[in-house]
Amino acid sequence: MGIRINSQAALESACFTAFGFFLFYLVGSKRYLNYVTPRMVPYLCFTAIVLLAWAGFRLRELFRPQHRNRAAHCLILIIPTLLLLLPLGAISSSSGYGSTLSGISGSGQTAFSGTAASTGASASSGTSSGTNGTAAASSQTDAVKQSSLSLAKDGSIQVSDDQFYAWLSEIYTNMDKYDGKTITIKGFVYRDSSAMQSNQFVPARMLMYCCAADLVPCGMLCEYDKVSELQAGDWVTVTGTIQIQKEQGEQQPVISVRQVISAHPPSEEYVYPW
Amino acid sequence: MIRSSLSGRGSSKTAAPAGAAMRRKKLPVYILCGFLDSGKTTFINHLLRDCDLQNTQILVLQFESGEEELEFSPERGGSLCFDREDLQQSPSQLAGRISERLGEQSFDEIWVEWNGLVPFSRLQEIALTPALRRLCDVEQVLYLADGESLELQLTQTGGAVPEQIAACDLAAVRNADTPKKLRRAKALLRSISPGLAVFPLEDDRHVVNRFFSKRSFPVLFFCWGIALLAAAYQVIVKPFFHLSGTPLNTVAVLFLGILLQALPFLLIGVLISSAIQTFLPADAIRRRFPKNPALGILTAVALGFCLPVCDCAAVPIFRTLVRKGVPLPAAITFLTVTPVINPVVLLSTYYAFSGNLRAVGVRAGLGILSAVLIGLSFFLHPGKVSPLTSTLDSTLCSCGYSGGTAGSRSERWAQFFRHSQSDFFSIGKYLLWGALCSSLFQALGIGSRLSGGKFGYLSALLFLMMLAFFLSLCSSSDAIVVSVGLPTGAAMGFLVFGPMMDLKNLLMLSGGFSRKFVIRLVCSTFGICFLVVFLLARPLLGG
Repeated sequence: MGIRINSQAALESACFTAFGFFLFYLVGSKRYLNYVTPRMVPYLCFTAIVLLAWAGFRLRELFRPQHRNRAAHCLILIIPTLLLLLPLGAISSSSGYGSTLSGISGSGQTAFSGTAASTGASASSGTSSGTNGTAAASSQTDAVKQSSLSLAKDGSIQVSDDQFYAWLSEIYTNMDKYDGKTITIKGFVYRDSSAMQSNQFVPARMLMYCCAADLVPCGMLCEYDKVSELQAGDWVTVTGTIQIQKEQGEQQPVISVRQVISAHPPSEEYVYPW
Repeated sequence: MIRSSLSGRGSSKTAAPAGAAMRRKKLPVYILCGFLDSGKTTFINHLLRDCDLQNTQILVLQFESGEEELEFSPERGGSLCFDREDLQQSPSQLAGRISERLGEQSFDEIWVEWNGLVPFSRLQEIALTPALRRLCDVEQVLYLADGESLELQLTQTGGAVPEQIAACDLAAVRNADTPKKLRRAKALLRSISPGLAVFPLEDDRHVVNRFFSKRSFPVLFFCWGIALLAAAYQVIVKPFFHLSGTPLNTVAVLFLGILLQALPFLLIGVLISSAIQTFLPADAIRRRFPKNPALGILTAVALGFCLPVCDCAAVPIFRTLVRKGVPLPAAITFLTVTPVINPVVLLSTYYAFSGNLRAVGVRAGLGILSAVLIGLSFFLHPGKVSPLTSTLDSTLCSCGYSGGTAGSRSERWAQFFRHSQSDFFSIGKYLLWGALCSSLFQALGIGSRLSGGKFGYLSALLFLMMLAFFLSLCSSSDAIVVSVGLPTGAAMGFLVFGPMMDLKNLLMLSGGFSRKFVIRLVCSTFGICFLVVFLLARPLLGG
């Protein structure tokens, strides 16, 4: 036998390194957006740096062998790493999970399987105004700060994928300014039979405030005669006119829908308010 | 009787001529540790007398000479004794003497009786000298503990005892005739060496069988397990199953979401608490912390406001504060108030209630009031049980190193790193369980199923508090989740109680605190938060 090494130190060091680099990879590839908001990036980087420092420190004890070695505790780092390697998809409200608190009884429905993408006509060209998906999140946060929202040439509102939340808060805050304007907005069909009338639905996106555990659907209420033809969870592009109405005791902008067409899901399915 | 029960041991050995085997195979070394008078020599005599050793030639190395004499007949092999002066020699000198002895005669096994006051690492240095490394391999290390004096030894005899316990593979406990005593001894031993196999000494069969087994390689086993899992996934699962859209996908994403969001804060908490543990002198906090209970609780509130950390970080800091001797009422106030009133939480509450300063004020105010009352309840009824799982936590930390001792700067840093890593692993385990439970809870839609009915104020409040407990949301986001479409008064129950105590915190607390204490804390927190919110939230908010 040659040199003895401390196998527990080696394992721990390897796990710290793997998880640390993996966090950097998540941040770099934007894959973290499935789980947490862009706000968490500095924290994730901090965690990665600490873990790599720990790995380096533990490596110093590599040649200090110890008799008893433990390994099971490393599962704390290995389990998340392995899970993150799985090809996990985004959560849509129809996949049995919805806003726990707003009273949606969404459990037990069939899972959303992306049929809209296969059957849909190529209609979303008007809405996704050429944003490349990777930059979506960062520009999204910028959009809120600078509120660089502008109307299209014909005076209508074209809500692009990365300005969904910015437009939403803009329209809700300055309601009167947008009364009667034409709007084109994309989202998945969301229905809550307990809170909505039979001719209402919301083209919604899942809104993440902190992490995947607090996802809630958000969007503008639409009125449409053929709601029954819509399949919950399908991505659609809605075109209609904004009208200010009294809904549930409050003045609210409601879209009176002219046209609903199938659409591709956006590259980033969630929206982040900051 | 014992002979028959132990007879399995001799027969499993090969009867090959010892001399020939020695050159090819390394000698197995079995080591016995334990404090003075823990019965090490007695145990060896018992093994020699009652085990079916057949033709096994044994070399017994004694590094301690107690009252009990070794009863050893020459045909069993040989023995070598080292007294206290011998132990001053360098490891290579000692190893030289042992290998010399091994050269004189052929042996099949080496049994070592190690000194109870000398660190195990000394023996390891001897065993790992080039001379001995070629000849023998340490297979098993047994710690003989005395159920009655173990606690005393751990707190009063310096570092050698915990260090030996941390190094051994199994422990046998003497004088633990009742199940309660045995449980206590187990808890003590495992607080130093997590997952240690502990047997009562009377359970002869198990002790001897384990002692004379081959050493295990958990790290190797672990790596093979991971590799196998990855291969199985590639070959079996990936081609045939699609995760996207299945409930499993939902659970996994929720789990990772909670975990990725909580881990950085846990890490911050672990680093802060380790810094307190290693860099502050042992009694600095105890001395400086106000003796007056009212002042102490106020200090805790002020501390809670200064540390912008959420609940995941508060738990490890709380653990350290209690160990450092901060009065329990104040420490509990700190634990419960920090996640409610930290600046980040207040800011997110402000956004969630679209700039309603009143809601922010009520949340912070009720939070502080509840935390102070919870602290006071522990001041008025301290309770009989000690909060920590073992009293030795106050002198030793879970990593088996005594904290806060003087040392050079680099030693301090080494201790800081070691301590933070060990804390991270011990609390991280519970974070994982907490994240799993609450993601299952959400994915199964239990909350949404329950919330279908119509509630009055009282039941809505109770329901939301239970929900907050099980959802284990981070306190910096929970305001947004309940601000939509719920009566503000009842939502306050969620916002005040949720950050203070939830499933994830409960599990994290149970690593290091006694079950009775944790249950008491959860009940007090729930009761006081409920009363405070029920009585005050509606009058203040009118919702």
